Amino acid sequence: MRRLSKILRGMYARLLSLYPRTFRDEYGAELRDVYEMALRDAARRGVLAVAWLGWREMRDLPGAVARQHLSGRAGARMESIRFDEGPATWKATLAGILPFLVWGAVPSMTWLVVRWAQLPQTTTESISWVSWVSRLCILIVGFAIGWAKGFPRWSYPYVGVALTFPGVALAMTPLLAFVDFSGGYWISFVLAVALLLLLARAWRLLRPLYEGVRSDWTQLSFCLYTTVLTASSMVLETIPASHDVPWQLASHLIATGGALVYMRSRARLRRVSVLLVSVTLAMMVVGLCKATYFDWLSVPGKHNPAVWWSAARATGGLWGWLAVLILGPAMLEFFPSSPQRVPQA
Amino acid sequence: MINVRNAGPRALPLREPTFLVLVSLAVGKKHGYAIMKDVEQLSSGRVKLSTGTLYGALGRLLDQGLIERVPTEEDEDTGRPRKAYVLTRHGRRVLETEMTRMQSLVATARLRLAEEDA
Repeated sequence: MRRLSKILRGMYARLLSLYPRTFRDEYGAELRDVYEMALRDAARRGVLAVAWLGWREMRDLPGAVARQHLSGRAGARMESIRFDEGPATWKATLAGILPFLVWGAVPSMTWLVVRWAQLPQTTTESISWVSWVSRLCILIVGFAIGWAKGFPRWSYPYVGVALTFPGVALAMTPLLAFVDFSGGYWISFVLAVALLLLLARAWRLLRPLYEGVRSDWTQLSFCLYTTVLTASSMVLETIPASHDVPWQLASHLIATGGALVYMRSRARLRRVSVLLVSVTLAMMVVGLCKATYFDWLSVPGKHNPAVWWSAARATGGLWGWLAVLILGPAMLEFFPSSPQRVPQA
Repeated sequence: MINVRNAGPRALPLREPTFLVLVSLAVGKKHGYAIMKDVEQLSSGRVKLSTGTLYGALGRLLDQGLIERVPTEEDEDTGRPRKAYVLTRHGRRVLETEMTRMQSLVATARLRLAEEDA
C-alpha cells in the first residue's frame, strides 16, 4: 500500500505541471497538501480506497486542467483589450493594413504586372490561383492569431474580410432573391456581422471580440471599413479590367492608407474621421472611373444609366451606405455598458 | 476586473458542488481538505470533489468575492501555514438568494403535486 501511495503521490506531483503556471503558483502547495491528507485518510481504509482516490483524481484531471487553461486565456485576452488604447506599434500597424494590401492592392498590382509582362494564359491562371490561396492563408492565419491574442485592434479587418464569405454565400441563396446580388450581399453581410456579435456575446471563447467592440466601438467601424474593397469591386464590375484596374488600385491604396492612419491614431474621433475620409476618397476615385467609362455599361441584364452623372450618383449612394456602416457602431455608445459577465461558479 | 456587486444574480443558479462549498463554509472557516470532506458528508457521499475541481471552484469563488482566504495555524506535518477559506458577507447573501430560489422552486413543485393529487 505504501508503494501504491508513493506512486500516486509522484504521479500527482508530475501531473500538477499540466495546470497553468499562475494556478500552480497560487494553489500548487495547497493541492499537494490536500492530496497528501486525502491519501493518508484513504490509506487507513485500505488499498481499495487508495486506488479509488487515485482513479478519481485522474478521471477529473483533464476537465479541471482544461477549465483552468480556458479561464486563464480568457483573462489574458481581457487584459490585452484593456491595454490596447494608444497608437499601435508599427508591427501591429503592418498586421492591421495587411488585409487591405493582400485583398485589395496586391491583386490589382499582380494583374498589371501580368498584363505588362504578357505572360501566357496558363502562367496567368497559375499566378492567379497561387495568389488566391496565399490570400486565403494570410486571412486564416491572421484571424487565428488575432483570436488567440484576444482580438487586438489590428485583427478587426481580418474579421471584416472573413465576413465577406458568409455575405456572398447568403446573397446567392434563394432567400434573398427579392433583391439583386449587391442588395442581397449588403443585407446578408449586416446579418453576418450581427450574428457574429451575438455569438461573441454569448460564447466565452469569442467574448473578447464583443468586449473589444464595447470598449472601443471604432474597432467595429474598422472591421466594417473592409467593405470598401468589396464596394469598389461592385462599382467597377461592369467596366473592363484593362480600364478599371489602375483606378481600383488607387482606391485600394487609399483604403490601405486610411487603415494605417487609423492604427496609429489615439483619439476615437480621429480614428473614425480617418475611416470616413478614406472611404470618401476611395469611392470618389471609383465613382470618377465609372463616370468616365459610363458608356461601357452594356452588359445584358444590367441597368445602364446612360449618362455620366447617373453612374456617379449610384456610386454616391453606395458611399452613403458605407458611411452609415462606419458610423453605425457609434450607436453602441447609447447602450448601457454591461459589466463584465462573471463566469458561473 | 470583475464586478463583484453584480456577482450575485449573475452567478445564479449555482452548480451543486459550488453550492455545497458555500454551505460548508457557512458555519465558519475551513481549509481545503475539511471542505472536501464536508461536501461529501453534506451530500451523503454523492458529491466527491477531486482536488482540481475543489480548487478550481475555490478560485472562481475568490474571484467573485463570495469567499476569502484567511491564514490559520501551521500544518503539523509540513510546517507550512495552512490557508483557510471563509464566506464573505456577499457570499452569504448569494447563498441565501440561491436558497430562496430553490425553496420557491420546491414550493411550486409541491403545489403542482398537490393539485394533481386533488
